[in-house]
Amino acid sequence: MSDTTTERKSAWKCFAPWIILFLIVAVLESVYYFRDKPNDADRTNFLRFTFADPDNLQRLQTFEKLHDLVDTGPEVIQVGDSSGLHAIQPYIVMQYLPGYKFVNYNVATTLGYRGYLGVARYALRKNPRAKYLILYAQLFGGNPREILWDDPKLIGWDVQHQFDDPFYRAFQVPTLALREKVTDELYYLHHKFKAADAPRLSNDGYRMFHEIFQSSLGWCRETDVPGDARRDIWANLISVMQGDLSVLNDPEIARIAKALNKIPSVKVESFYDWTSLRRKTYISEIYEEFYELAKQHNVKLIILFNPMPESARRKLFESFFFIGEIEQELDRFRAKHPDVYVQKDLQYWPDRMFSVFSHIATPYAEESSHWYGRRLAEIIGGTPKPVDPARLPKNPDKLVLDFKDAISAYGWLDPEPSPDGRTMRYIGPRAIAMVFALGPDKESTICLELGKFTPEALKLLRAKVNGQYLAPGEVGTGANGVATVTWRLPAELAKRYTGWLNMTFSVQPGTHAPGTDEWNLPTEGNRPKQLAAERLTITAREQVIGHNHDFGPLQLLCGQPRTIKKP
Amino acid sequence: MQFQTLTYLFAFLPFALLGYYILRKTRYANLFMLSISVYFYACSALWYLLPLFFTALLDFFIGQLIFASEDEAYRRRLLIISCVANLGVLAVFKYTTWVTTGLSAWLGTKGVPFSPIVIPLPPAISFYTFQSMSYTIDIKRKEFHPYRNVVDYLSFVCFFPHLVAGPIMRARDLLPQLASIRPVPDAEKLTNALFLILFGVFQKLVLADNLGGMVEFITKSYNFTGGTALPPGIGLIYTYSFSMQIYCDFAAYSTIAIGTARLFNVDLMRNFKTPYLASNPTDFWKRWHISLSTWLRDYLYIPLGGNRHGRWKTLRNLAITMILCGLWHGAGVLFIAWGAWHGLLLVIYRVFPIDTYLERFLGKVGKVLSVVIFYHLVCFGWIMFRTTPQEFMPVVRSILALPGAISKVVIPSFRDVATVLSGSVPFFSSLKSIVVGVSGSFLGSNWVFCVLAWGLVLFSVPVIITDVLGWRHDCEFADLYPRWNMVGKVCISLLLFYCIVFFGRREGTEFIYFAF
Repeated sequence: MSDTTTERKSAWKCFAPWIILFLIVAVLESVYYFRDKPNDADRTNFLRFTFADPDNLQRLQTFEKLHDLVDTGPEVIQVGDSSGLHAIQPYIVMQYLPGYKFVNYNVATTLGYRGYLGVARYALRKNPRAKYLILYAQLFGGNPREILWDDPKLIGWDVQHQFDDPFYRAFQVPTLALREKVTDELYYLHHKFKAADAPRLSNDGYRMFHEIFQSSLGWCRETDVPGDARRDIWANLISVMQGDLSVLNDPEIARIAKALNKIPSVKVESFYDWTSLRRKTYISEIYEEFYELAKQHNVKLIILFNPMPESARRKLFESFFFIGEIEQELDRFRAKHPDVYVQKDLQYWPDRMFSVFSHIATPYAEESSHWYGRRLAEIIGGTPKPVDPARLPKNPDKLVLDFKDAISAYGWLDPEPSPDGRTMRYIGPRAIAMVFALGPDKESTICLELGKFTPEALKLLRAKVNGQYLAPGEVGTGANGVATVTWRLPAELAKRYTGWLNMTFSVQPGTHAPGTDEWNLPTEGNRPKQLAAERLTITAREQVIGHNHDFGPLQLLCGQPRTIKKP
Repeated sequence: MQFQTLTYLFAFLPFALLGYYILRKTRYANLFMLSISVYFYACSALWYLLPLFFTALLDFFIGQLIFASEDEAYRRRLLIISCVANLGVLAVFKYTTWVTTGLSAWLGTKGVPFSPIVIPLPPAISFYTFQSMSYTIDIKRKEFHPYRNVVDYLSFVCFFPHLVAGPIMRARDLLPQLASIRPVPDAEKLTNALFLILFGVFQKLVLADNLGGMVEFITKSYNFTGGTALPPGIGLIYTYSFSMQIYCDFAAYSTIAIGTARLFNVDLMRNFKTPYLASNPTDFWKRWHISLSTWLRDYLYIPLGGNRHGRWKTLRNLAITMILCGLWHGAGVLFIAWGAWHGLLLVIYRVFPIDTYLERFLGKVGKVLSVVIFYHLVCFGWIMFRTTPQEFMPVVRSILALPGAISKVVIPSFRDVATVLSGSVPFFSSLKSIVVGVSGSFLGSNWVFCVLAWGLVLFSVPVIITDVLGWRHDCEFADLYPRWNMVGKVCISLLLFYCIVFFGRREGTEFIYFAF
């Protein structure tokens, strides 16, 4: 045998294990891919599944939005920061659009603009029918600047790499989708150290987000401030800035003051761009990227800003709030790209409508969504009409919200056991509480099972749904002997936002006249716990009529069977 | 740039290999290698190049001058200039922040305001400083002839596989390889190199990073920086995890570096050889960070007198060498204490060779025992290495509290055990219920400890298995690759690949030794 042949044989012998390894991997991956068809998002390395250290809230929210909402086929895609996540309710916005589906992909500022861009790129790639791309962010600290574009700690880099970058995507083998299962098995000893159905994060904010984001098409109530929004945040902060440090004894005020302290000047930041050999502002750099993306996908780019609190314009904040500079830069961008809509009239809303300087408080999410919807209607035009229901999440005929679980709610205290072993939540000290859900889009009954109540509170109890007070509820007894209050939800209110319900329960005296704004009333001081609820059931009436021999839901609602006539 | 990233493995490295093999026979080969090495090092910050080039070029020119002169006094002066400049640069970057912070605190107590001077540390400064120093020292000792080509010389100092965390190569070993036209490595060398890289990535992503994650988790969760108590036993997991993390992390870097260099047909020295299976400190330092320990031996311990001037001076030289070794690792009292601890161990084992006695009296059991004892002595050193002065005692107290936590659960069951032994109840079923009860009770009251202990087992067992396999053949696990048959090669590579896919940590943690 010649030397060359021997060398070839030897080379083959050396490389054979690698070739065989490659073939085995290729076969395993192909079999798994074609058999299980894993979701694209599951196949990324975006979630980390680290031993004993769960992924953080923002990373999970980003992942789940991209996993569950990305190919839902919207015409209008909104990306951006947490201001939009908490302020814009898609079902309200869609009332103003000409039959377009709207999905809110906003997550959190920790993504940075690179992350918003990554989310937008992925969503546009997966939704070829999209017509509009909206960048919705807040300018008060969330203005485009270095830390929100180049900071290596931004989750946005991972969004870009794992969901957009073809180089990284080339290495996403299908079995990556099995990572959660495999790590759960091994890291937690076949569920000995972690329940099989445990949420990915035992965090109230996450569990609430998880319960609501799919049915709300991406909205989630504001959770930044423990104990919910406080109206006097600004007043206290202003006191701090004027030298009165005593208010900092309140840990919540101290926390927010600290956060405010961290906000760099709200001004235009720039850098030297080596590719164009000139200075460039981050606003121009970042918006240009969005513009290029929109052009590439043939969609219209719309840039809208979260309203800002009135106090931001006070003289006190002049040292870091240079909004004039930003407006000038926006004008320059607007002039360069007349085909892009960039909001001109920045909104300043009363301070009481904010939970923190950058977030609309939950009770005003409905109002901000209307403002936003009206603005979009002006930009997009066309006659408003409802979206084809087949393209929206299916409305349930019956929805049961158990107050011991995570639900998207506001103003309720933490779950507490009642003396008879049930779990319930009190309406908090402000005496108003809200619940959000996608319910039946037809005439329905809303039944609140009461865990504990005082007769006075029961007399005061009123419900407001989608902006209108309901006729006083009917007090009864549920199947288990618990007290219930049942309201009739007229069809026009149930249908108003295609089944989406903003429900407010109030036990405040004298606030239930139409047009009154209960949020204006003084809310400080620990009011006695007046009323606790255990379960909320929303049932479409037709469903009950169809099964009038089975009085299950009716018993639950009214305590005794009765026949309901078709309206 | 990090070795374990996709960008390095599938973009940078293939580009570097392609470029090198195209230019291999031309005079541009080393210029190309130098350029990509500079890119590799400076892609995170350009200013890092300033101290690197200052050190490297200074030694290049001083090396030429030393070589050209026959005047011994002049040669000596030049060498002193080189050493002072090198160590001066190292000291400025490495110790200024530490010294001025201490000074600031001290002056603060005297009422004198003084702000500490914070200077960021360029990665690898300790490595390339030592490497560059060895070049001039070897020329001064007439053990090596300087190279006239500055590109060849710079490509030796900056050679990217070992630039950031070693092995600390001597010019006499590496420069001739780099300056020559090297043939394309044969298939066997290439495939061995690929396995080294695969195993290194596994060591880093699956073992080191996950163990490091547990250390971080403990630090973050218990916030014991302020001296807050750690629950019983958590300190032990912290210590074991860190001992395994630092080994796997550093060994992974060296393994990938050696594998990468082999792809360019360059041989780097082994830096580790199953160090935790050493039974005494001398053996340990022959197995741990070998390139540093041999550097310290050749350029510090022997010039100090080595073992040539009697027992006490030998012990003194050992202690000095190890204290300076600690200082080389980092700026901090506990780094010096770590070095001193290892110095003390060397001294103690010289005076009282525990391992020899154990082996003599207990045979193989004694050997195993001496390895276990010495591993724990090393672990005590790692506590100093990893903790701050405020964290040190909480970790030690937590370790000491573990027996108490165990006995709290076990002692109450003694009466039941006595009942079982008395034969009044069925033996096996009763014993089983006692064991289940005791372990359940321990689990209930030490839940986090148990979860973390499982994590430690999970990520440490592969280290132990691979090390024992390597140790049996007097080499590292990755060196066993050529000895396996095809099925073995495929199965082990497949296992490593899927371990990386499923368990590799995604946080992108830097190699620990980047900070030195």
